[in-house]
Amino acid sequence: MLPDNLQIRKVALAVGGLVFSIIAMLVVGYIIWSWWALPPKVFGLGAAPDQPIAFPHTVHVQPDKAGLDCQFCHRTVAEDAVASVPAVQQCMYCHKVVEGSTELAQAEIDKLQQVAQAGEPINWRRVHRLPDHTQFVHEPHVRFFTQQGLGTAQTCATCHGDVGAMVKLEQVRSLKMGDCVDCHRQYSAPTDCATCHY
Amino acid sequence: MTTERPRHKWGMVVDIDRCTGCEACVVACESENNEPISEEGHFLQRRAMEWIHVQRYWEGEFPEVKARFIPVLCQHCENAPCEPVCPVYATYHNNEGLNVQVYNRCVGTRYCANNCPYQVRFFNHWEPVWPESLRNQLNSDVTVRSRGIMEKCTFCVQRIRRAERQAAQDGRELKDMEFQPACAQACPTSALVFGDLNNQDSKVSRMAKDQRHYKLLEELGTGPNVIYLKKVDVNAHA
Repeated sequence: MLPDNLQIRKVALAVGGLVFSIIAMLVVGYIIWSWWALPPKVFGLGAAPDQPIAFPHTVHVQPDKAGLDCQFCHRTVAEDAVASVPAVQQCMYCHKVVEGSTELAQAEIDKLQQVAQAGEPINWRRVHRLPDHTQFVHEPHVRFFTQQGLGTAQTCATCHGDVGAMVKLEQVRSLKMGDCVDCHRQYSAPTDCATCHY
Repeated sequence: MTTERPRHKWGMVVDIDRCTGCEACVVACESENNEPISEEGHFLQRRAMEWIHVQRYWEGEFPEVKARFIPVLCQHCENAPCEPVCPVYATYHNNEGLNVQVYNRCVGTRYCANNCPYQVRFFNHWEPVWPESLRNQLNSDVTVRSRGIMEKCTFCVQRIRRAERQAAQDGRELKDMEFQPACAQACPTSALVFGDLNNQDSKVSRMAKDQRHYKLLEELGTGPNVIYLKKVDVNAHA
C-alpha cells in the first residue's frame, strides 16, 4: 500500500491533467471552428462612413427621381484612372434652384450652399480604396464592359453594386487581389503582375 | 497563366558615341520613378539609389587622357541571374521581355542584388523621405517603395501601360517611338533609344543591327536586352 501523500498526489495529477487537456481541446477547437466559421475581415467592406454632407445616391440616380447618369458627375471615369468626385460648383448647377423635398434634405442642401459660398471643397470620406502598390485604372474596365454591351449603370454596378439604391454609399465587394484576379481570369484579361503592380 | 498580349520585346539601345555623361537621364529617372533622394552619406555607404547611373572612367595617361561614360541601367536580361535566387518569386520575366520586380511580394532578402553582375538593383535601407517642397512632384503612377524593398529600373512600365491604354482607346496598334522612358526622353543627344525589338522596322531594332553593337558582360550568358553601341574612336575600349 502506498503512503497517503503519494495517493493524494496521484489523484491531483490525474485531475490536473484532465482539466488541462479539456482547456487545450477547447482552445484548439475554437481555433479550428473560427478558421472556417468566422468570415475574414476585409478592410472597408460593408462600412458606410458618415459623409460631411449626407449625399443620397438614390435621389440623384433613380430614374423616377433626378435620373442622372453616373458619368454626369463622375466625369473622367471613361477616360482616366480615377472616376473623380465632382466639384462643388457642379452640385451648384442644379442646387442653385433645386430644393430639398423634406426639411432634412433641405438642411443638407443648406450645408452645400454654405460651402459653395465660402468657396471651399467638401472633404468627402473615401469609401473605395485600393492599396498603394496597386495601380487601378477605371478607363480600360469601363471600356471593356461597355464593349460587352453593358449600360453605364450596369458597368459600374459590376464592382460598386447597385449604387442607385444606396442612401449611404458602401463598399459591396472585397476588392482584394483574389477578387480582381477571379474576374480577370473569367474575362481573359491579363493576369501578369506588372499589369497592376508597378 | 498569363493571357496573351501583343508580343512585344522591349529593349533599349545606348549609343556610347553620343553620351556626354551629362546625367540628365539620372535626374529624369529619379523624378519619374519616385526614387529616394541620395545624399553624400548614402554614396559613401554605397547605398545610393540610381536606377540608371553613368559610370565614368579615364582612358590613357596625362596629357592624352580621355573621359569615357557608360550609362548603366537594369539590362532586363533574358536569362537574369536575379530571378532564380528570389525565394518568393518577387522578380520574374514577363512575356514582354521585362524583368519585373513585384514590390508587394518582396521580403527584402537582397539575394537578387547580390547576384546581379551589373549592380543595378537597389535596396531601400531607409523609409524614403522627401522635403516638403517635393511632396507634390511624386509620380502617382508609380508606387512609393517602403523600407526593406528591393527596386530597380522598370523600363518605365507605367509609361508602357499608359501608351497601351491610349492605343486601345483609340483602337490602333502601338506606334514606334510613341513613348519613351524618362531617361530616353530626357537625353539631350538621343543616346538612349527605347522600343520594341520584335518589330523589325522600329528604330531600336535598326540601331541594334549596327556593327558597333555589343552587350555588357555578354560572356556571362545573361542575354541583356540593353544593347550598347561602341564609341567611334579607334582607341576606345568600349
